[in-house]
Amino acid sequence: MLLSKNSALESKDNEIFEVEESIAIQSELIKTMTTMVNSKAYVNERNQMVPEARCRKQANYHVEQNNKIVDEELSDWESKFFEVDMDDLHELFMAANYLEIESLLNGVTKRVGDFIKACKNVEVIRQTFGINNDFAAQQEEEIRKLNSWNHI
Amino acid sequence: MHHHPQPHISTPASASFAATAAFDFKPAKRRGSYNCGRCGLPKKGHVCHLNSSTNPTSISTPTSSPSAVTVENSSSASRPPHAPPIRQSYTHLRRALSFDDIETRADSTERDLDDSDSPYPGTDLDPDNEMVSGGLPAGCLWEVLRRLPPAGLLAAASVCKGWRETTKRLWRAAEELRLMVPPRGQLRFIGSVLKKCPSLVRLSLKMESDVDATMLACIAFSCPNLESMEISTSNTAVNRITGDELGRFVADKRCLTSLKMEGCYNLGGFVLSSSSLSTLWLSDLYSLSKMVFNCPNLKEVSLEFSRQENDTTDLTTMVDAMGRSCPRLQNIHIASVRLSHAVVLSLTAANLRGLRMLSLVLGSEITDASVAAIASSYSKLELLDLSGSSISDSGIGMICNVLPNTLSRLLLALCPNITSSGIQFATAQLPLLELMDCGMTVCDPDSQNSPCDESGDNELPNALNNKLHLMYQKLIIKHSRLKKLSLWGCSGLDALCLSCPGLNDLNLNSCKNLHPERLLLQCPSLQNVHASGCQESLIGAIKSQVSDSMASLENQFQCKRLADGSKRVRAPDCLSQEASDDKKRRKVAEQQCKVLVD
Repeated sequence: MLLSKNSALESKDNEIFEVEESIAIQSELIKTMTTMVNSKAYVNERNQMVPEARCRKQANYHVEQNNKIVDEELSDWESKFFEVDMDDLHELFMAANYLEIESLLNGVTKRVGDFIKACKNVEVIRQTFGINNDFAAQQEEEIRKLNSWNHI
Repeated sequence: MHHHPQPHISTPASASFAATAAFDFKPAKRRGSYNCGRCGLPKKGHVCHLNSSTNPTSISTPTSSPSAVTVENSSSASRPPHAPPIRQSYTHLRRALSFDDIETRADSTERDLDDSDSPYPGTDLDPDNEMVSGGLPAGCLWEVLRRLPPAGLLAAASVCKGWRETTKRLWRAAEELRLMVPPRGQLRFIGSVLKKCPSLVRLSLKMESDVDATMLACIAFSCPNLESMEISTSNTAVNRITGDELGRFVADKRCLTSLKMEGCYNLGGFVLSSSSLSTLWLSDLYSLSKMVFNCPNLKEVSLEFSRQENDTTDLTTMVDAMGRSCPRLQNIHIASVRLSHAVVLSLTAANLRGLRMLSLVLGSEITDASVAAIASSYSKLELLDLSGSSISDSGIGMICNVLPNTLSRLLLALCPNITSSGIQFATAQLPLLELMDCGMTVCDPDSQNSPCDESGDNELPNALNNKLHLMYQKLIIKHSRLKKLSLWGCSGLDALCLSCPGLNDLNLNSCKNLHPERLLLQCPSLQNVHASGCQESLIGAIKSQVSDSMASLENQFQCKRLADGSKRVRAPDCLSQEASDDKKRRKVAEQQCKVLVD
């Protein structure tokens, strides 16, 4: 792969990932940083240090995803890829959000949406996502009345 | 795949299903509104389990007789393999008009949020850093929630304060909303939902409960910026809106550009005054007394009349009025059994300079004289649909005389006086032709109505001599641009030879008498062939011909095995072509032509 350039991305926990540049550019964040950095005329366009504020193990996931795009079984692969539990999904989400990777974001949000749709009622949603009900009793009553005709 | 034991066309109201099937044949677009937006199934008798509070007794197949369904299952290639109901006439008639290739909107979500701004318009909540419960920053939550259907969104609003805030913002940003209104509690439902999205621009409602003027008032009140409104009705819902009420709505809504409504039985007449309206589709019209189209910017109009008897609408006056007050019309579609030559004359008298698509269907009183009038006044037509009319081959001749430079779509289904020579003439004379629908033309209509599956039996006792000319017809078509050809129901067709390199879709449903050995398909781009209701041998012949054309491309390199075990491969004539041939072969292998039966 002599023609492709590799970028080295460093995550906050000091792991270095070598990614093909064409893949790295899928992340809007890296793309903008690249364009900024390039103007400083690196002779060897190999290393770009991208400081990342959060642990980015999940950059690996993304790399795999992009490798698969070359094959045409993407949709199958994608549905398997996203069948992870909430914690992993959460990490993926944070990564996609921070790195601004659209395809990953689409996949993750759709999956989370499916989770919500699959929940029978509000209580289940709260449980799934670990959310505390912070409505006052009165407010809750209001909401219940408003939505009385709506059954999920 | 199963063979329908029942007759193909046995519905007494043959005109109804027939015309429906006629327009079934249209490029691969579906108006999602007349099918369930979620699963693409026709909405007749269909209850989508999402967003509905009724019991999910999902009846996904229509209750109409399967026979009629077979015939209707014509060439729409992208249609999911379910039988469309008879009442689908509306959808089909629409299709002939659609000019652009609008993408299907069979979305799983019922609401689309169209935000031209940044995805998160929050001013007080920093999208990334502000954590909302559930560990998700508000921006992420926004992304998730915006993909939910309205029901999910309403549920999400009850989870916690943070989620409720986000959903509120989502609603406020919503520009397009597509709702299915369940049978119970309709007005409150709509009212409360609409109240949340004041910037709504496009609204589409699928009513499963009755709709009347209070709904219109609710919409008018809640959506000040509404530009496009669409109301479709399921079979159980009754549309009680009257003409006056509709007129008032249209007049009040200053930005309304598109109005589409089904089930307009109770309109009774209307006065529509709007300078913004450019698209108007009304279906199931019946006995309109007064019709005033005071819409100078109207570009597209589609009026479908119900097939009931005793329709007292005066079409001539209506068309006359329309022509006078809407000079900018480009697409006209009228479906009514009472279309006649007089109506055509008033249309041609209107001298609509911009007319590009004209569709006057179901009018058996439209004759060659009408065609002459149309041809003399509107020489720039791109689509002409005279299905169900009485025009003959000389009418086709006139069309070909005047419109060869512009006509790309010609639909003449159910025209009994057209013969195969007329069809051949049309394909020979119209170089820009891309779509041709000749369903149920080359056939003997009487034999179709027989309750017997085999066509031969019933013909013998009849006066065979005057029906003979309708049988054993052959069709030879060579056209470089033709993309879709529909010959459904042409049971008089005995031989068919097609040499059309651009042909993608071929409909041979119910071509019962097409002889397998007299079929020649030289159409390498063919993607779909519809062959339900055909003989098994014919289906076999189609399949082998279609795969032959694939195979012939693959066997580009002939090889010969010699006696000593070595193999000689004949080099291709030009080696540089190898790369492109390779690609072509791969493409061909990927795009296998499908033969669709049922």
